[in-house]
Amino acid sequence: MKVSKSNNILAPLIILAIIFGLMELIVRGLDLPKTVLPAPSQIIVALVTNFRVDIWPHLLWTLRIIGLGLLIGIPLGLLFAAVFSQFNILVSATTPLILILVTTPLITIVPLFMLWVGFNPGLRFIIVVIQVVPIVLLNTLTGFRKVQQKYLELARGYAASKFQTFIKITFPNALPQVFTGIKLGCIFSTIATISTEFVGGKVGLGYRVLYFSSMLETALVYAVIICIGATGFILYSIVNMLEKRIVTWIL
Amino acid sequence: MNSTKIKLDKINKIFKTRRQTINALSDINIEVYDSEFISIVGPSGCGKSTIIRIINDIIKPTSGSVYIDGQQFGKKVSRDLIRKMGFIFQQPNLLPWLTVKGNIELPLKIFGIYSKKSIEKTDQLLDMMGLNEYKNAYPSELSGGMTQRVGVLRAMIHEPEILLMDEPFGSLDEKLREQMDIKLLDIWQKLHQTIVFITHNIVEAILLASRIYVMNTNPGRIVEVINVDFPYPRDMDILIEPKFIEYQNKIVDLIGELHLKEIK
Repeated sequence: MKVSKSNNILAPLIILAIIFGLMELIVRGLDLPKTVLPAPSQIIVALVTNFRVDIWPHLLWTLRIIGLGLLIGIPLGLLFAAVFSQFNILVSATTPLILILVTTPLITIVPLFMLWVGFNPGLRFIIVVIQVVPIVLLNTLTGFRKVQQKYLELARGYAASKFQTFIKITFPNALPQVFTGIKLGCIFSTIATISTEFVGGKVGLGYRVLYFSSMLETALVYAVIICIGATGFILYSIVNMLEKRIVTWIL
Repeated sequence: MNSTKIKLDKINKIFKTRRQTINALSDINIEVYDSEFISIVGPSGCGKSTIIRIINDIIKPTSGSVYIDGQQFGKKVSRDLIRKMGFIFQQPNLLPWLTVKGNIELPLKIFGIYSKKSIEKTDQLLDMMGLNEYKNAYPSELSGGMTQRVGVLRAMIHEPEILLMDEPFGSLDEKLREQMDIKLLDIWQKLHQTIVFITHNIVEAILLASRIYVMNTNPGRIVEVINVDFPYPRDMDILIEPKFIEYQNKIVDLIGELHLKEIK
């Protein structure tokens, strides 16, 4: 029952090339100053020339924070969801709090948090974890609670223990929703990390954006933004690929 | 005289929803003997599905007692008692994230009796049903008839002494249903399980069962128990026997004209 898949690598690349070409034409044609809107070709040149010295160390740093935030945040989110799903009271009590954490714009919390934790970049991952855990928790919990009655009947008909029911039915059934949570976690993690770098400190891609901005090196600003975008995209794609390998029963 | 395998004593079941109170079962008394094949027949909503769920301890009765092999169900029913039963659902109810093989082996893993031998057994059963090439397929890749067959295999893999079947062939086309009915009788002749078969198809009930519990709705109750006097092994030929028509008429009389459209 497989619907034919279009060649989904070629199409986006073509779109990208078209946008690239258009932008190049517009900037050259209108002769825009390169401090306002550099041509794509200039951005690429800036990216390649300065990558190793000016961008790569910061990219690594940002990646480290994002990675740490995810490595801690995702398992914690899953664990909490597993525990919460057993106690309805916990769910109704904490859901409002979780929602508040998720919906309050991060930019407002980060400065507050930096006040408490200080500007030590090593501790920034905590902010990321605080953003990742609720979103993973919410989605996973939804997945755990939306089990079809007929599957639970199946488990009861075999006198399966609570643990067995969870491992064999509730958890696999929730996997699609769990992956949604993880993907969102990746997005939130990237945004949170860049946000902390915006607020303070001297390392990270977010900081580099501000730095190059202040130096009017606009081409480099765009170059760094492209790196940030690429990071988020690659992370998301990795999770997507994992999902396709694991959740094999949904086409 | 065979011993009593399953006994339901004065079972009542009341469902309370937000809007109403439903008197699903009223004073149900059923006795099934060892290796007997009985059927429960009745219109939709008469509670027959509820009854076999009460036998399998999926639903608890509001009052009354359930006995399996003379042992009464308490608040918590021992796993050994539950293991004696295999349940076959109306809709196949396979777990979509497991392969056909994985689904069939599921009861073995839950009961903790999965071993190398089980793999051979699974393969044998799959072969018997002609599903061997679908061993590693997922339920979404199978037709309705195939998934139903897998459901039957899953219910039998742990060699239960009791088979509880909730309109198992209701969603199949007539030809396949007949084939499955005959196949079921064949399996029963060989393995001698105690079978409780629920259907709203009167012809199917008379073909398969040695006794039929006829039920009606509002409230769900047993109207009569009919002895089907055909010897085993049976085949489709008995359908044209005059006695068969008599049984059919008797049941239609009991359940009434109103429900004729639900009876095939």
